[in-house]
Amino acid sequence: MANIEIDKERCKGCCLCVSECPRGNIRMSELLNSSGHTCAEIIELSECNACALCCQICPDLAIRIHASDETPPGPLIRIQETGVSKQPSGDRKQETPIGGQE
Amino acid sequence: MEFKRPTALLDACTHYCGGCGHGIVHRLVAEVIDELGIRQRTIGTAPVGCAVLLYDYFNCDIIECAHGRPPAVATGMKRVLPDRIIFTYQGDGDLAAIGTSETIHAANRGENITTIFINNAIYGMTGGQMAPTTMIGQRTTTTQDGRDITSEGPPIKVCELLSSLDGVAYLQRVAVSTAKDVIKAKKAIKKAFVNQIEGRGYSLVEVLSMCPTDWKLTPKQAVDFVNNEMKKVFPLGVYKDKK
Repeated sequence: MANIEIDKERCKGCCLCVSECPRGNIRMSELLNSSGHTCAEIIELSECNACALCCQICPDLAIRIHASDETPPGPLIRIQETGVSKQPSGDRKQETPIGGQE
Repeated sequence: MEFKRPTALLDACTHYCGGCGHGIVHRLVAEVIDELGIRQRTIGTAPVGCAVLLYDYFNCDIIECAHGRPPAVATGMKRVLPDRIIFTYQGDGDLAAIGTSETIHAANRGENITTIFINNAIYGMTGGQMAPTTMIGQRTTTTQDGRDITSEGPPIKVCELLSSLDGVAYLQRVAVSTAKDVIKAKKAIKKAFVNQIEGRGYSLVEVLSMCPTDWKLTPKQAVDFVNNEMKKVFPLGVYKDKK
């Protein structure tokens, strides 16, 4: 199973990953993120072989694949009662601080 | 397999529209900077156009230039600081309209800089007017019946235009409309940076990119437009590779 994560707050709903996935394993969620965009989501994590073609085409770097020994990404975002998804707290990692070091 | 944000790109959400190709090209340039280990000695130039806020996204030095003048600014920086890696990031309005003169003369002088040229066949930031690269028959807000060759002329093909200049070291046209094209585009961008490190002269990579908003298309239709229409008028390939 690929250690893949779609950052729904970064997704702008362009659907390019949906048409690029060779296994047809990405679909558009019915959820909206806080910016009002519909978000892409992995249909079945166990079907993903981490080919990263979706990562290549995503204009917003919303899709990440973590190394297999890395801590798995946070829980998938669930449907909120309001119909608007929220980013779980502490889920997003700050990988590149401004003015960060090499 | 691991895929994460390159260090040379800040953890910022871009202002680009959904399906815009700028975000992909930003990532490719940042990945190349990371792979070559040149982030702390790289200076980029931000154009006027949709990529005007480039300095908010790159984790390296960026200087904002007057419209069309990045090649002139880059020339100055490279001559004063020859150990730095200088790249210009320009759209078709910036490079092929107001900046035509600067581009042609910097290329002709063989300035040792790298240019990333985004060709989306339209003016994006100002609302979809005709660009020098707009194709015959393409509708824009200023060519509402389609670009007419008798009144507006044919599109400028920058790689073909610059290929006749002796100072130019490397010219390649790539696209970012499919994952396969994106991988090829990265190789071209990397070569353009390596050329500069090796002191070969002016290198330019033209990237056919999507502008779904101003083309009035969905992102998927915009990808098809690049694949089916733009690639016919602007064929992909290497136009010059001086050894």
